[in-house]
Amino acid sequence: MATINVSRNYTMREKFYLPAIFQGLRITLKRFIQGFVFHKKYTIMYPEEKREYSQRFRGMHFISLDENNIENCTACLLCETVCPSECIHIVADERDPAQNPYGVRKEKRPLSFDIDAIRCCFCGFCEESCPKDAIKLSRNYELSVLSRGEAIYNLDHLKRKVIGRG
Amino acid sequence: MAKDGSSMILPSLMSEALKWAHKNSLWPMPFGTSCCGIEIMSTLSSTYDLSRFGAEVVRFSPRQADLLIVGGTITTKMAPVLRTIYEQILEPKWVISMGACASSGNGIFDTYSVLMGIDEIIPVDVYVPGCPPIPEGLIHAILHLQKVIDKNLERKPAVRPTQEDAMNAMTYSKCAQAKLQKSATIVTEDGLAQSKTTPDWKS
Amino acid sequence: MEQSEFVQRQAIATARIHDKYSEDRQLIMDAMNEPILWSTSATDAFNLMKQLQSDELLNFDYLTDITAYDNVDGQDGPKRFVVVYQLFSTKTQTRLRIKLAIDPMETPESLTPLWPGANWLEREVYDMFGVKFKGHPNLRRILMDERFTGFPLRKEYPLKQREQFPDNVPLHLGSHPLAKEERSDEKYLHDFYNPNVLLNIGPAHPAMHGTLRIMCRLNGETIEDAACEIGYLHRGMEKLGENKTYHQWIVYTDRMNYCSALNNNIAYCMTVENLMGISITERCMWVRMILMELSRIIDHIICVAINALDMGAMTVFWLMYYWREEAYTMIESLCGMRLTTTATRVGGMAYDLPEDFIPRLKKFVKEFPSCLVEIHGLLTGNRIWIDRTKNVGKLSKEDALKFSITGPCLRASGIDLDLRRDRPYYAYHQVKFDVVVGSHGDVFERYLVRMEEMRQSVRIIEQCIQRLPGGPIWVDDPRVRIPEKIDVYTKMEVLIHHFKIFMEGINVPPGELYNAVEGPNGELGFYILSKGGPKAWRMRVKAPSFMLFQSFEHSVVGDKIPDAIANLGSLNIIAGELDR
Repeated sequence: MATINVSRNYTMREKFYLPAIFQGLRITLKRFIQGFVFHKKYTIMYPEEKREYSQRFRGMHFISLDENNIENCTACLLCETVCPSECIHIVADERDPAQNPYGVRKEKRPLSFDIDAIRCCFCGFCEESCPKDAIKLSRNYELSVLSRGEAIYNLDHLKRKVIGRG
Repeated sequence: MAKDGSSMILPSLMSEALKWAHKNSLWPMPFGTSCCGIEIMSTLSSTYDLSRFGAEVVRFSPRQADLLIVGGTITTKMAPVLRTIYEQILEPKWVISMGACASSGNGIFDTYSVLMGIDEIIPVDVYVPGCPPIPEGLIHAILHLQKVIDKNLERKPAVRPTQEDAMNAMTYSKCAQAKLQKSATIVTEDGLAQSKTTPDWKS
Repeated sequence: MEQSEFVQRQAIATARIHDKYSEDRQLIMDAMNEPILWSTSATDAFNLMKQLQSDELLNFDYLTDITAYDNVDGQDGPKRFVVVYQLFSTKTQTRLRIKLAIDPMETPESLTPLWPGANWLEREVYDMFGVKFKGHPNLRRILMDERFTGFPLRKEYPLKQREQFPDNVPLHLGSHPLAKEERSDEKYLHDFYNPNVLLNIGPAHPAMHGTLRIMCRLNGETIEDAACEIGYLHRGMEKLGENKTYHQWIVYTDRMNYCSALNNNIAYCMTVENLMGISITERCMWVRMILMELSRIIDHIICVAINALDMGAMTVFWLMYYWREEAYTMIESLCGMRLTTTATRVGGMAYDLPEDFIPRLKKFVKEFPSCLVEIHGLLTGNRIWIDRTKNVGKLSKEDALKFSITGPCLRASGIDLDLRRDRPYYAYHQVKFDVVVGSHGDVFERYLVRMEEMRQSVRIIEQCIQRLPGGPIWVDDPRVRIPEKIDVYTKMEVLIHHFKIFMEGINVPPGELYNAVEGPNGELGFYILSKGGPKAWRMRVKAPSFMLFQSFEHSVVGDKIPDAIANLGSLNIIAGELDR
């Protein structure tokens, strides 16, 4: 492991600044030809061209549903405890035992499940800590709203069908 | 109008023409304080070019801009500066509050020195949740703002504090008369803040 | 240097301290076997540090940090506060911590005669705790508003109690508020001939560095005196460290140095793991090294690009940002977010590397040096660039040590100090890389140091890719292991363990630790004091930008205003880290 000293002085070539100007112009001309003649583009033309993000992307929240369209959430309040932003508010309730086909496995259900997306920091801890694979983050990044009330996701909005996110 | 539908002269109302001009040439002023500032810079770079939407000219002076993009945490020390900058922008002006910190103070930064949302002191047109919102999210917000401009040329944001409201919001100390109805934390008599479980701006 | 070698040097230094300085002072060891010396009184601490600074064998010539913590439960003695001084020796690369217990009414001696860099550190201790220092030239609040009453980091101050003021902080130049006659709203004829004009480069800054404020006194266009005002982004992260669990605090580490968030995550998790005595798996170690070097590259890209943009060279910004987006794509495939990653956990990582990460990384490593060649072609030989950056913002060797700066700026001033080589952590002693230094400490050399460091980081990443082993990414320790989801769905004990980890938090044993990492900006250190339980008692972050901005007040004197902007850009001040 050596030590490199990058200190340098003026050379004669740098004192006549024209060679350096021409070198810079050559670099930018090369980029110009790449773009103009060979049509090499770097821009992603959003909103016409949408890029696909990975399976781990942290976007809009949703609650996964099982085959009978019942939410997987059993209101264990783990996500509410671990959330550093205190943006999840759950009121738990018991499922009606007479109409419960799952028995003990889904005895509780969330009566109300509010996520304040404006306060959320999108850290993914809720998804990590959920023992039932219920709350997840989708790949939807189009979240802009016109008022603060619209950004509160209640249970109906969270139970929407989301495709393409494992 | 020619027979095949193409036109040489497009008759239209003056207000429609003004709306078209306004929405397609928004000159942003990026007021980036923290992490969202880096995402604003990424939006301006060549991968997600913001200049495709008419925002080629990024002016850092409020006198020459008409869209204020506030990204990043606004602390109580910075709040008067933001209000001054907002007042220096000439009408018509729009405000996008980018990120969780600017929109609501961010749940993780609910502390003694952070302003819980810039809509206590300036009127906001579009809020973008995210921490930070990715550049496509910000472009989606600008497109959303263009739709808002299309609907009405006069700005009618959801919360519109007046000068007196803003001064009241920026001047309180440990006291109960803070008018914080808009955020989820209230300051009670003994100066301690408590969270409310049901936020009351669900309108 | 081998890892065991610096441990030996530390042991020798501890033995010497024990022989010479600990007759009536107590010497104890912390969680990583580094010495802590309890001094007996305020004057004793000052004399002790003066002796240590001039000691030939020990040579503690560098002040790393001054902080304090609240002793409200009385475990460390009868007095209320404990002030902690962290010293470092550049010759032997050893550390020493000195503690001093004081009451709120006592005033310890200020260290500014010995180290001018202690100025802002003591102001911060005053701001947060209310401890006054005798002999300090400018003791007023630094992070909070001047008119704020109350000391936030005391244990009785509630977390969410705010105070706000309707106008900006009044102007100060150095130690004095501006006198009435010098206010700019009163105009006199002699103002036009006044050689002393005051210029406020305010917190809403077009030079895109965030919320910094500089007040300058100008003579013509030359700056004669400068005072910096910070705290416009103070979010109270250290107080939050006392109220959130160790797992939840990982979220805050991203938002400190937001240009290289992975580095902060890793440094914090390394500190907590060392405090608990956990050693991570081989694979996790090599993956973390790759991520640290990748975040070093992207942080240096931002610094060089913004520095050039401030001076008008916009092409550099466009060209370099493409590589930043390539790195962001890789990071997003790893953990899901581009900038605020929260990719590490205590004891492992949140996700293992996906399959397409290593091929993409190999492609990046092969093609990125062409970018450096391009930027060198645009800037380094260019006389305009050289004239604008040579001999601008000079910081000499002695000043660099006295102001306690770290990182590429310290190395550009001529001091050969790099924590990856001198106090190696993880496997840095097994990879070959060169440490880059300069000689004059001006903006040109800082730029050259950063460009060469990027090339060295590429070299390190290549070696890490070759040596990356397979195996598990999580350590097998039941205190911290977050179990796999498959097991949580099926097995009962694993489910109970999962619940306990998230509901109660990680139980860290009592102890304290200062752990530092060579970040892209300098030495990023975490000082964690734990009294058992899931939450820390004191979480202190030693941010490199803090000391860099303090040295800026000194290095900008004598330059012109555009030079000041160039100088500010080369320091890479990140406001999130500066104000926390």
